[in-house]
Amino acid sequence: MTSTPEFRGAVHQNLYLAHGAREAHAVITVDTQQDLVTKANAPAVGAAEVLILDCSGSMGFPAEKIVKAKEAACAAIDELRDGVRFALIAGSVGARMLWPAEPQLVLADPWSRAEAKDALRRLEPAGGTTIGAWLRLAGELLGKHPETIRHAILLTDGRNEHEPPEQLRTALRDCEGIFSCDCRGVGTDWSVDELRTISAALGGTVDLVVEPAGLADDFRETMAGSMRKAVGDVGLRLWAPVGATVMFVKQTAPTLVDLSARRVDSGPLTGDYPTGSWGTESRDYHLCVELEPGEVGEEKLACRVTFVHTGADGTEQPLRQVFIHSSPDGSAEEFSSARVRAMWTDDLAQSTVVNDKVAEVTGRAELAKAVQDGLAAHHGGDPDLAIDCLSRARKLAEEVHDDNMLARLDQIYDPDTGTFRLNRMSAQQEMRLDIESTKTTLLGRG
Amino acid sequence: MFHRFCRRCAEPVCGRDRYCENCGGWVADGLRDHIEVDVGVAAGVSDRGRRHHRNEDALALRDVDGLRAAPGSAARGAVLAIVCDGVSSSARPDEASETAAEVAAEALVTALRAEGCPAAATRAAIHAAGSAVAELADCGAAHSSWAGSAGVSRGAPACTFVSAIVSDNAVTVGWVGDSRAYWIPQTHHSSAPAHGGSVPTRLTSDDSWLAQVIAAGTLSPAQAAADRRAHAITAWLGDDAGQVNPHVVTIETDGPGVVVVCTDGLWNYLDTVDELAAALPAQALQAPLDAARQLVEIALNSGGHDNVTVAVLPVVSPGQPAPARQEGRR
Repeated sequence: MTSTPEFRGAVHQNLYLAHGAREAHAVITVDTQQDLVTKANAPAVGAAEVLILDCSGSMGFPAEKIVKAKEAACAAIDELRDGVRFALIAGSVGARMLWPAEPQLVLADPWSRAEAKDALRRLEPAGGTTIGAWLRLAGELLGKHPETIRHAILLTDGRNEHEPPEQLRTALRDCEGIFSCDCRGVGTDWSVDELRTISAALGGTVDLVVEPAGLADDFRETMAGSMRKAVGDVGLRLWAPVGATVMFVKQTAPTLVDLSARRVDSGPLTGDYPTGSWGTESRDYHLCVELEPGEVGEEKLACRVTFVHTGADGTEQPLRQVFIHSSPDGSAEEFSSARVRAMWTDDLAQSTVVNDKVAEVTGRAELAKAVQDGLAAHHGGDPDLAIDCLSRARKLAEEVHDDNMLARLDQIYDPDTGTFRLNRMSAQQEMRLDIESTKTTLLGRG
Repeated sequence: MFHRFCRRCAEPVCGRDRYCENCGGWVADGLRDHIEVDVGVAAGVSDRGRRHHRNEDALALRDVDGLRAAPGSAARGAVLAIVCDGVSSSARPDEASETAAEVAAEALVTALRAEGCPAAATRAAIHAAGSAVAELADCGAAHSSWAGSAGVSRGAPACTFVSAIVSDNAVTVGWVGDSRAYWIPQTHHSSAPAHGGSVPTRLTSDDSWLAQVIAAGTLSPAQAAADRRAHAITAWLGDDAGQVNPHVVTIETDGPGVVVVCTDGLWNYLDTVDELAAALPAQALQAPLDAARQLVEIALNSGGHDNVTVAVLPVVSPGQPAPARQEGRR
């Protein structure tokens, strides 16, 4: 039995471009096959986990925060299967090893799990918040185990106030590709933007845990999700022809992440975009490639996409993958790479059709931007602009059938006046809106 | 060996999807419109013709130089050509013909290097090609690697087959269907009187309805040729072909000449061996590519109603050809 999941993808696009048009858009949806991942679950791949706990002074106010954070960490430790390497980092001003004492990872077994939980109980909050330093230590620990799937959970309740912003930026640059990081904010004193920057750079998720009591469940779930990862260090490899420009490569589901800037050239015409580790899951990617326009009737390959797995020794390992291409006539073909095509036509009926999936992800991206612009305007003291943006967001949410976002917007929407009650928006509601704006619910898939 | 080349970049187009690796241009159909294969000691040309929207003929040539070193082999070198004509009423006939030609070419090279018996190698190659074409039926359009030909489901992919293996002193041809091979000795161009086996000879006999009824004597050749079934073939390679019975013929050549291998796109216009011999350029022995081009040109100028493919294989050793010896079931 093979240990890596099979990637099954589909290409969604309108291949027809109007005469003179340059931009080819496509959405590539990818699902990893469930049974194979489940079977691969237990023994096949090694995993390494680091828990980064904010233990700055503010975690003691209210005292429940640190108590629940410890409980959550214990729950996460219990999710570690035997043989996973792990460590705990205590973050305040600087980072220190909470367990083990030496800067190294230790194999999980009943004894080590009990000892780690013991160390947690003795933790006392004090000091400030220097997230860059915390990540750096995690990177040191996890970087020693390139053969594993490397993951961290970061919990904080505040902003990165006690180190220069440049330190966090360089830490992110250094940690990129070393490990993935799911970020959790507890309370409402942390910055969604900051944690989103970290989780996006490190290929993880960001979430808000309002009530400390909810932390344990969240940590348990997050760690269990990480334990289900079956293949690490997967890159999206994109080939585009001479003269073409890759305008963007965005993950559009489950969360919106622009990967464009993270391209690493892997050949004269190919570049790799990191997608982190994969378990049983579904993700969507929106690609846009600008081409030299062809003659009417001419067909070109706009780009070709495959997924590549880089092993611990830096060599590429085969990934099983198949991509389904549907034609307008209903026929379908399977290929070992996803192909985005472009065919120029002078028939407007053909070229003006927008593929449903492309329309959906475009709408989603606009929705996210409208929400974020609205919140930024609200903070910038421009209520009129904020209301404009949020009204647009509400309309877009209806269009793309994002009921979750619609419900959240409706909490602050006044149907009688057709406007938004910004002054009655709680910090929690605002952070939730912000976070949810970049999440996508995949309907009928996964 | 031939490559497909992108018309824009002049770069070889590699791989299975037939997009240019450089500019992304779609080059599959266009590139098969006109293919020239030149292995030096032989050459071939395949053309879409003037009426068909794509070229469903396929052509493969190999210079088996390794055979020269084969101990105990009568032949001191060999060149081989395979020509296949996709059956246009079948699904993906272009894939069928290309698969058959490429699979058979590889099988022939391997077998000739291993054993050196051209007749046995030919039979094995035809069976290998037949299996490969039959397997195309399983794939169906859903698994086709060839976007240009996917779609409507018709009969299983099918094609004709003819191969020729030419060494210094012998020619072995094998065929299924109505694609043909001819032996045109050099002497027919000289003013010296023809003798014995030095006359132009058609080496194959068509697996066709027309050939069957003429052989049976039920219709006159003129009546039969006028029948709408005249062009129907009675044997082919493909999943629905039933048991494939390859015809294999070996002749010993005792003098210089050329072997011409072609699809009906040519012989529709040059039906008799004498017409073909007359049309063959005198310099065919020295310039096989030019000869193949000129024969294709004749078909195109005559209307180009079908895809047309011609391979020309010179035999250069002195002497006279021996009479044909038929092998295989008729």
